Amino acid sequence: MKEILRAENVRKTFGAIQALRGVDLSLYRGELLAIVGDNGAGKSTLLKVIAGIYPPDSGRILIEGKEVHFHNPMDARKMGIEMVFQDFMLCPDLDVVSNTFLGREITSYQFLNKKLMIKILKEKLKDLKFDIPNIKKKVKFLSGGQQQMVAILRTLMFDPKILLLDEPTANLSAAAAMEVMAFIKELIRARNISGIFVAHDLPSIIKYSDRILVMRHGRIIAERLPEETNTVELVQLMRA
Amino acid sequence: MARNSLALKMLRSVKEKYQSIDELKSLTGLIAIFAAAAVFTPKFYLPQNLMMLLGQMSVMATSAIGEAFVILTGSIDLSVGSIIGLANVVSAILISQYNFSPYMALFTVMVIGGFIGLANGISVTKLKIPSFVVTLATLTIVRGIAYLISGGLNIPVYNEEFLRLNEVLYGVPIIFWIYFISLIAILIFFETTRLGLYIRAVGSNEIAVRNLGVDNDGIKNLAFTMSGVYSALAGFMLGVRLGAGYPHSGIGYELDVIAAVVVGGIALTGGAGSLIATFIGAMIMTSILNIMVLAGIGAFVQYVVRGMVLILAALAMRKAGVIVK
Repeated sequence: MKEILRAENVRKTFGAIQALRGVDLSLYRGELLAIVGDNGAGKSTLLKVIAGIYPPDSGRILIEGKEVHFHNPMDARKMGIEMVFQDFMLCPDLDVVSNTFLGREITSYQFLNKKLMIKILKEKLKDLKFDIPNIKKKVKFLSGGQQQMVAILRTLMFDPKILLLDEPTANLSAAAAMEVMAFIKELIRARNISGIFVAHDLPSIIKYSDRILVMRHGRIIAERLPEETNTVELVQLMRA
Repeated sequence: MARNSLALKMLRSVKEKYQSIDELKSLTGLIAIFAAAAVFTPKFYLPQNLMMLLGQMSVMATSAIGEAFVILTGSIDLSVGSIIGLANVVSAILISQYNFSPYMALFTVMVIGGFIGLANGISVTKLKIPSFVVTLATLTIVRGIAYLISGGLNIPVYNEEFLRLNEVLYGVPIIFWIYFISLIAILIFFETTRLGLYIRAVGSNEIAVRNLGVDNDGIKNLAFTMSGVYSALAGFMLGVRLGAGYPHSGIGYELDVIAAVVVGGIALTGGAGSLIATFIGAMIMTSILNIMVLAGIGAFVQYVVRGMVLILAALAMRKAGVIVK
C-alpha cells in the first residue's frame, strides 16, 4: 500500500505540558486509521498538528513523500487535508451553503457566487446521497445528526485526500453514531480517501478501523490490527 | 379536514419564515410604535415632525452601522460617542480655521476615525484585551483629545457649503440621504462579499472560523475600523445639524447606538442579525423619544422608558431564539 502521510518525530509543548513527545506515524492510501488513548494522551493535538492548526515545535510532516510546512489550516486544506471536529465547528447563524463553503467560497469579481455554490452543493448532496432538506436553513435549526452531516459534508466539498476525524460521533446518539461511522467507512473505501480518527468508543473502533494506534503521554506505544485485539487489551495498553 | 390541515401547514410555514428572518420582529415593534403614535400623538405624522425625525435618527443610525459590525463579530465598541465628539470638533476646526472644504474635512475625520477603530481592533486581537475594556479606555482618551484640541470651547462654523448640508433635498434632509447612501453601499458589501460573510461567521463561531484557516483577527480589525469610520461620519453629520463643533457632543451616545443595534435585532453575542436592523433600531429609539416629547412626557421619565424598551427588545429576541449562546 502506498504511504500518503508520514509524521516523523513530531513534538509539541504547551507551556510546561509536553503534549507530543516525538510521534512517528504512517498513513496509507485508502486506510482508516484509529488512534486511541486516555484523556490527555495527545490524540487531538496530533490531529491538529497535521491539520495545520498547531505548528509543531520540531519534527517533519510529509505528504506523498514531500515535506510540508503548514502555517495555518488553509495551507493544509489546500493540500487536501480536512478535519471533522467533535463539536462540529459550524457557524450556527449561517446557512448550510455558507457553512459548507466556509473559507473556500466561490466568488466572481469579489462577489460571492451563491448560485454556483448552491448548484455545486446540490450536485454533491446527490453524489453522496446525503439528505439535508433545506440547504438555505440556518444550521442552528438542524438536529445534532444533521449538523454533523453538514460538518462532514464541508470536508468533502473539495475532494480531500486525507480526512482527520476528532471524536466525530461523541455528540451523537448511539444510532446516529453507528450511521456516521458506517458512512465514513464506506466513503473512505469508495473514494480512495485516507482517514485518521480519534474516538473513545472502542467496539466501533474495532468494527470500523483498518489499523489501531495506541497513544500514551504524547507517544505512540502500540499498534494493533482490529482482528487481533479486543477492548480489554486496548484498555490495558491505554492505562498501563 | 384536508383543507383545515393545509391551512395549518401554511400557517406553520408562515410562522417559520417569520422566525427565520431576524428583522421582522423589530419591524413589528416599529409598526406597533407607529400605530400607537396614530392613536396617542397624531402630531407625530406632521411632515415637519417626520422630517425632523429622519434628521435626528441619521446620526444615531450611521454610528449604529459601525457598531453593528463590531457587535456582529462578538465584540463591543464603547468609544463611538467619543469618536462622534472628536469628529465633530475636528471637522469644525478644519473648516472654520484651516479653510478645508466640508468634503475634505469629512474625508480627514473618517481617516482619523478609521485609525482609532483600528487601534481598538489591534488592542483586542493582538494585545488580547477584552473589547469592553479597550473601548472604555478609548472612550475617555478620545474625549480628552476632543477637549484638548478645542480647549473645551465651542467652535461655530460659518462655511455656507457646510451649513447647506442641513437643508432638505427631494423632501428629505440631506444628512438622511448621506446616511441612506452609506447604508445601501455597506449593505451591498455586507451581503454579497466574502468579508461580509466572515464578519457574521467570526461572531457566530470564532474558533471554527480560525480552524478553517480564515484570518479572524483581520476580520475583527476590519469591523473596529469600520466602526471608527462610521462614527466619524456620524460626528460630521452631527456638526451639520448643530452648525458647530461642541467638544461635549456625543457624550453618552454609545448607549443609544448600542441600544439601537440591539433593539433592531442584532444579538450582543454576535453572529445573528443584519445591517437593516440598525435602521429599524435607530428608527424605534428615535420615534419613542419623539413621541414622548410630543406627548409632553418629562425628560426624566424618558430615560426610564428607553431603558424599558431595551429590556423588552432583549426579551423578544430571547423568546425568538435569536440569542442562543
